Amino acid sequence: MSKRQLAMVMDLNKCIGCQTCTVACKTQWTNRNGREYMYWNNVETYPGDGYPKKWMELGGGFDAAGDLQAGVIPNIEADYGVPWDYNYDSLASANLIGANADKNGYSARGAEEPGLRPNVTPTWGPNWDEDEGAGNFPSDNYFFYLPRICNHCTNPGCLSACPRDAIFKREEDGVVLVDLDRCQGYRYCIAGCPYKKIYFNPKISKSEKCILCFPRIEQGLPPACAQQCVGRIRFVGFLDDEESQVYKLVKKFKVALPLRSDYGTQPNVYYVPPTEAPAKFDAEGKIIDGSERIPVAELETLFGKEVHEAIKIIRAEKEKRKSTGESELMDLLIAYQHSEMFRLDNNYYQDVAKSKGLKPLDPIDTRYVKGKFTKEIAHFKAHA
Amino acid sequence: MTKNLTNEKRRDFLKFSGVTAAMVASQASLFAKTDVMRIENGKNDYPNTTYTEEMYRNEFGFTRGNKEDTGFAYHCVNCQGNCAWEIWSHNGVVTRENQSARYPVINAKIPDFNPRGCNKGVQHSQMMYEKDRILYPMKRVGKRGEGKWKRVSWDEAATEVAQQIFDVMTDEKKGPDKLMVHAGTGLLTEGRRGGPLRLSTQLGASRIYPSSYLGDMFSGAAIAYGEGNVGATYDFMYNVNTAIFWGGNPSVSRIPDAHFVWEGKYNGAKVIIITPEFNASARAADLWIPIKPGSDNILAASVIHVLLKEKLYKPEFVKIFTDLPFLVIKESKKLLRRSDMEKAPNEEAHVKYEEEFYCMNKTSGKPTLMPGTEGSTAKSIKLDELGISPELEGEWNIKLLDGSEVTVTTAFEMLKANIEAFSPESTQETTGVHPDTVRTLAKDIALPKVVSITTGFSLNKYFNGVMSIWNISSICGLTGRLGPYGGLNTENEFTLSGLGALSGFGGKYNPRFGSGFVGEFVFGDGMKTFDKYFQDEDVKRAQNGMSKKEYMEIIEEMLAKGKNGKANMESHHGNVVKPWWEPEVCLVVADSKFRRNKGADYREAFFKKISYFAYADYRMSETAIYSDLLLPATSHYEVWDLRTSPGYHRFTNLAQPIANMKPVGEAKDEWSMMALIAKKIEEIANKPENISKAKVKDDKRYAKPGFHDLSIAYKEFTNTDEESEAAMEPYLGTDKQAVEAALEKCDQYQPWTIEKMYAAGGFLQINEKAAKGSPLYSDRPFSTFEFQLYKFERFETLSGRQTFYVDHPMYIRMGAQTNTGMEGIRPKDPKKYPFTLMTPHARWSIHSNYKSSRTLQRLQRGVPYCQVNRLVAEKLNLNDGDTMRVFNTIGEFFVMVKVSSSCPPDSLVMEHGWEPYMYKYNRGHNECVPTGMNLLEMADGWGHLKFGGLWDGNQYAYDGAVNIEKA
Repeated sequence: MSKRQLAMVMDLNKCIGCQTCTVACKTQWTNRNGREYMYWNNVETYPGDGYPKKWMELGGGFDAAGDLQAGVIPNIEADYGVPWDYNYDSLASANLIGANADKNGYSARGAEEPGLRPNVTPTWGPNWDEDEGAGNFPSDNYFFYLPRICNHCTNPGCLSACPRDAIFKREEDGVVLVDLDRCQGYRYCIAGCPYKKIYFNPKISKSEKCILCFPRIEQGLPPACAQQCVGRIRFVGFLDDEESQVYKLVKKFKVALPLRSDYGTQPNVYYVPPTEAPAKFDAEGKIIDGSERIPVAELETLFGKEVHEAIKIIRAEKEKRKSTGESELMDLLIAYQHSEMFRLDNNYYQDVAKSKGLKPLDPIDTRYVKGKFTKEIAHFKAHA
Repeated sequence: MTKNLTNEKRRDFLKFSGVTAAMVASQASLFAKTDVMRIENGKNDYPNTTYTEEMYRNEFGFTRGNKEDTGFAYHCVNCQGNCAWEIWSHNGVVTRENQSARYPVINAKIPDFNPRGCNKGVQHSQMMYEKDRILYPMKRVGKRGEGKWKRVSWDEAATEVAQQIFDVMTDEKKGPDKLMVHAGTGLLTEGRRGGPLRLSTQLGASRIYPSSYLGDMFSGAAIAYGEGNVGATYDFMYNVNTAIFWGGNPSVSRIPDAHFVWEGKYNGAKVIIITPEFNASARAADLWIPIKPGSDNILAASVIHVLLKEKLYKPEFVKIFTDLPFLVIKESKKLLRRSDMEKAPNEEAHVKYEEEFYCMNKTSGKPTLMPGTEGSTAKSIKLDELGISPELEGEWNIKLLDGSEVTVTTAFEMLKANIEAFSPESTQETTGVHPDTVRTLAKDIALPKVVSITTGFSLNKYFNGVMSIWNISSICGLTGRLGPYGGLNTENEFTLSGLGALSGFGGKYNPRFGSGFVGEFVFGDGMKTFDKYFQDEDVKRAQNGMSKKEYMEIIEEMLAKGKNGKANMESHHGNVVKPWWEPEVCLVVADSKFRRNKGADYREAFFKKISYFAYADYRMSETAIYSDLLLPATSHYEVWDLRTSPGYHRFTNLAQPIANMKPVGEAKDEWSMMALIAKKIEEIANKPENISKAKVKDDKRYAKPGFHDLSIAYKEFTNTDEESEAAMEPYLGTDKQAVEAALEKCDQYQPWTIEKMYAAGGFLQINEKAAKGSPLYSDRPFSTFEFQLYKFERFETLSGRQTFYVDHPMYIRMGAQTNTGMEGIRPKDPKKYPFTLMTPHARWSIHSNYKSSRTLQRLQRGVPYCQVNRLVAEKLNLNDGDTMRVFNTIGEFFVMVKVSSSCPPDSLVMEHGWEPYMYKYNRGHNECVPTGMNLLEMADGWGHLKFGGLWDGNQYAYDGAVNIEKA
């Protein structure tokens, strides 16, 4: 076991599906060097096939006895989607008007081929089923967004599956990393991860995955997906830091639940389940008061039996807020100050670096550095 | 836990599939560097962490670069979001962007504005070095759109533009009004945008109102309040009891601010979304009302019906703050004016008497003049001190000045009569909304303390959108919603004063504004498309029974009056018509004309009128493709700039390039570009053979001296002419000078400097002088009309109050002298054309900006796609991923089918903004969208409804009914 565990909570009520997280992650890590097709962070519309396609059916994880389960490595074309490119460089010199144009370049139809077009025919991608949902319009159709990163599991399927023992959890914060020195690209890890959140990099022939932006965290900056989340749905902190929002949401209020905990990997990313959706309509178009547009059975599949209790707590606290103006849980989820959503305990990281004989990196940002051990240290300003 | 998997098991466990197998690189072993290592369990004390960790640390260090090299920017492309971004760089090259996220807390009990941004802004770094960047000035050498270009120098390019400008201006048969210098909405800033606008004004060139031609003008709100931009900063949403988004989808089209809505919901707000489609906002709302497309004004009329019948309105409020107690002559439906009752001593007084109105005063039992109207000497709308207690209901007989006896009643009675036909039961078929839902909606609006109704930009995209927003405004008026009690929220806008120093000349030259929607209609021969597409019955349905023939005659007559601003020039009491000009030479910046305009023939018609089209942009947009000369512009991270407007928040963002920025090609900022063109104009004008023509005559409205002096064009542009030097005007001519001048001249920016803005994190907080209609409190969200509510200040309307009654002859003719319901013009032919084509504001682009981004396209479908309802698709045998042809009588286009449960069966929903060159045949979805003009918006010359920045009209986008088939 790692000494401490960093965790993230994502609030699915507040997620607006904008994918700013996805793009922030992409420009921070995966727009280069064989990672182009990877989405260390993706946001999928649920219900839907997700990313990679039908990942929940691709195996991996552990059974009740703790045995690793067989898994499938997704296909790049069919399951991840080929990261198509465009002919930007030839756009200016393309003839868009066709052969029959008049002197002003006008004809009833232009050239058949689009001036700007993908170089391969797109057939699947990480957000292919965006906003589609399921059910009958308008009576009971529904969807919500499910953002996903590596769960930095306490019992990672990828780690157990690696024949090289080249996947490890960092002692200091439980971040799961592939040892790029020792990885041989066997890809058992991909089959072993039930979330399909570890990817094969064809350029270096090794596996890579979300690293929870540990280099940012070590320097006082939250993960790109979390700090840049404009819906303000992501909290990051240490699970043993009782002041942290992640502790309060996961341990105290028990409203944040892991995704598919039945896979047995003990994920460290938690979700506030989607409790908010409009009522359904009957055949006459009348509102059915108190009806659940999102089937609770679906939520139970995703978040386990605990979801019922979590929904009850969230709704009770929301009601309390409405009638009394008070609710600590609502205060937490509202998150008045963006900077308070993160407690990265920077001094702790400084100590870790020193203990390893490394030169500690100065924080490049001092807004998010609070934490369990940090408050006693005064060489940079940390507000209590 | 130790591993319990044997090698044998592992072999079964690993199942390769398809292409991935081929991807197993052959060189894996090349990377093994470490000695033999014994590892028990990677979960504990892994011995070889540093190699990997250092690699990623280095990689992060590379993207972050030196902290002190950081630039700041925002993306000013008409999303109006305006977000502060840190720009990271390495060695003079931008690596990525990260929100600044340093906006201060306004109130500790209200969520802050961090980390403002969105999915599009977060990837500009990936597009700014893309291969569709325009790097050098380019001259067209083939046919338009043929793709044949010749690289020219900046000197050659600027000389060519300058010569074209000089020639058209000095041609005796032509002149300044044959020139258009225009900046589109790809460049909405307080700094850079000033450059092209300054040159336009200086030369007397025409330009047209963007919000109008975009269909983004809140004309219905302008009727009600005298201005379209009303509402609140978005943090206001956090503390409302009911938040309604009518035709709006904040989670998609207000991404930086949407969190206030959902945090407000946690704080107790009821969130109601009224949209035909099920979308990202509807999915999490308390109430979603799936309305039939375009019937919003009828649903609103129905809500008014409930408010009136169930007495949910606030009589004491409407007596003071609205014109509902004003007296109306029943027979003529005209407001009773002072000029009807009293003879004015002179012409000047008569004009005032025509803008004074009466109520029936309960106290005296007599018609009594209401204070605070346009013609009134009293500037307050306060009644009690004057002993006025207006009747809201009743009928009275009175004698007019000319001796005739008439029956008068109140505007309120007229409203009741107009609304009578719109009971929830009778509107259900048209709106698709159940009567119970209408009543619930009415109560959710009327009863709680604070209610905000945000109108989405889609409402103006329907033919009768003007009535939708007017009706919604009236709902707010009836329920007493002003200032802290909420009300209509279109788009708040703060006041900025002093910025005229950049784009203007202290009154020496004035801009030649043309109507936006009319200008584009004329450019594109809109009447032809209208005639081709709409039938007599469509026009009759939408224009109160008026025949198509008569409608077209009236429009033609209005257009004739508006040509070259003729009727307005002759008018003594302000504008009376929508003016338009027909330029021949165009210099245009960042304007997506050929993508945006409706109908299949716009571009063809446009180029029949235009002889020369020079265009500045940073990338090869649809407009760029068809230009005669391309001028490479800098993009958002390469410039100095400022952005405040409109008013979703109270911050002004700074654009400052990264340290040692490596230039991208020969791109120039718009100020430097325009200064260079001005310089060339000056050079040409001073040639011996030209100098006699250098003073170009113009009307005194546009040039106070009576001429534009081209021999000092550069000096005037840069404020180095004698007059400007004497007046100590700031030097202009580069983007940085513009920022410095703006910070010096704009009252609301005091006391900030570039250095202070940089230190704060790339922004400033505007001061209290920005407040308009309400105070800008230091610790509270802003919401308009507090001064009216508490200080009884008059609204900028004819009545001085919220307007429910407009007795313009055209309004009376349309049966729309007060609120009513009007059906749309979209043809109703469920067999031939069963689908409404809806193209709402997009999640993935701001209009066409960022639509061609590789990064963003990979999160979509790579090619244009369109939602089709799941059951409809099944019936038509359309599969997800198929290509379909969308068509009607005026055009066709091809898109990928996206089968969706969120799409209504009677509509197609697709994001707009796709460049036509991304479609098969290079023709976009506007091929199927007809164009038209609503007579209520065309009407002019009445009270506050006189053409200008606050009263123009809208180009519509959702009036096309289409059919589909598998391609």
